[in-house]
Formats: sequence, C-alpha cells, structure tokens
Amino acid sequence: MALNTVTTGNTVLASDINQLVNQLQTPSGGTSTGSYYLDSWSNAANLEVGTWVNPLSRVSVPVSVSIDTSISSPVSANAPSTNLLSATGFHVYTTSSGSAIKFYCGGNYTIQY
Amino acid sequence: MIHEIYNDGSFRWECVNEECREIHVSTLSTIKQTRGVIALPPCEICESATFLKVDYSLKELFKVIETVMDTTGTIRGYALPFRHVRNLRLHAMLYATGESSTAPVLPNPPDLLLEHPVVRQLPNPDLIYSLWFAYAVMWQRKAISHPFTEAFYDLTHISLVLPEGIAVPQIERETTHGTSIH
Repeated sequence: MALNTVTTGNTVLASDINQLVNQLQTPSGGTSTGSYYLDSWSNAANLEVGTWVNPLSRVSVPVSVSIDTSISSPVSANAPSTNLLSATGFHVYTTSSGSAIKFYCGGNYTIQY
Repeated sequence: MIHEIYNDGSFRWECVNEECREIHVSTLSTIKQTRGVIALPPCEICESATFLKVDYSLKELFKVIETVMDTTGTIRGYALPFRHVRNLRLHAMLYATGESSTAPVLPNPPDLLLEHPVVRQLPNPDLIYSLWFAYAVMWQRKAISHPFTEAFYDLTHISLVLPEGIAVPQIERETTHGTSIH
C-alpha cells in the first residue's frame, strides 16, 4: 500500500502519522504482506530448510498466515509450511524430495491480524 | 480467517490472499494441526496455503482481550475477538477428536454452560466462548476473582444458574511464586 508523503509547509495530520503506525502495529482486521524464498542443497531426502520471516508489524497478535508459491513453484521440494506464528513474524520451511539436489521454492505471504 | 463454525463441525473460511479472498466451506477431516498451527486445505482458486495460529500463550491472549464499557465509561466485562475465538474452538474440536496432540491453552466452556437455556438463545454461538475465554484469561491473571456467572451478570444483567465448581475455569492460576492449580 502506498503511503502519503507530507510536503514542507503543509499541516501534518493524524492520518499522516497513523498510516505509519498502522504499518508498524497492524490493527485488528488488518493484513501485512511480503515475500519469502527458500533454497538449499540436499544430501538426504526430507532435509528441511526454513527461514524466519520478519514483517514490519510488531505488537499485534496474528490470527493466520497464508503463503503461496507464486515466485517459484517447489522444485525438488515439498509444499512449504509455516509455524511459530507470533507478533514478531513466523517460520516458513520446506523439505527436499530427494538427495544430492538443489531444492527451492518461494512466494508471497499475507499475515492477518 | 474462519468466519463461522457450524454445529456439524464444518466451518466457513476466507482465503486471506489479498488478490483472492475466496470463501470456502471445509470439514474437520480436511485439516490438521502441526507445530502450533492448523493447516487449512489449499485454496482452490489461488492455491495459497493458510495456517491458523493455535499456539497462543496466555500473555498473547491477554494482549488482544477487549474491554466492554457502557456509555458512562464503566467497565462491564471483557471479550476475546471472534477471530481468535474461532481458532481456539477449532483447536479444541481437533483435540477432542484426537487429531491434535496438544491441548488448547484455555479450556472450553463447560457443557452445562453451553447447554444453558439463556446461552442457547444467544444470536452468535461464538459470543459465550468469547466471554468465557476472556474471563478465563483475566481469572488466570487474578484480575477477576468472582465466578463466571457474576461476570456474565455484570455484562448482561441476565442471571445464569450454574453449580459453583464449574463457574471458574480449571486452569493454573498465577501466584507471586509461580503458578498454582485451583
């Protein structure tokens, strides 16, 4: 979502400040979006690779997270999954579907608060 | 996000992918709980995978509890937002069927409360869970010391008659030296 800019000489309104607050502390019912990408070399089947996703928002307790694989469909990898959903982010991970291969996937996420 | 849980255990949910927002109806048999989240079936339209948070801590739930005030600003009671209530309800249903190995952080309202004639007349079944879960969190933190029936009366001015023992949640309660079971 594009944010308003404040120009010199104009009054700074509450809405100008709150657009930033709402990014850093997403209100109940709001969403936070971003991207993730996972890749690694596998020396055994079902090897797990994961990363911690840090959204801009803090403080607010999330309800759910949705992930897709629109950046890269899983290659030699199983469908990605998530856990440890909290106010500071979540963990996204996948596992390899074979050994001695490079496996990867990536996509966008939407956290709902 | 879950919109509604039906009596037969099925539920209506919305894909939160901003470009999709498709509404689905799924059953308990199509979901599973792993590592602190409930995985919903992939969206049939955008193929996104949605995961509901269920590994709530009491501290997290305390943060999201909303205070119910009257027009004079007097605190009448507390409520947990429905979006979190439905996650907890779904978790409890999975746990009851043996599909979840970890128990929800809060106990469900007792059956005697859910089957109470007054409660059965409430327009939204999530409401009594919302009040009970919020009460349980506040009770655990010792912010409330009276039974749920009194908290319900303070909020609605409707009398509920429940046996004394079940009018408080069976969870560990904070003490100054850790926790104790009541």
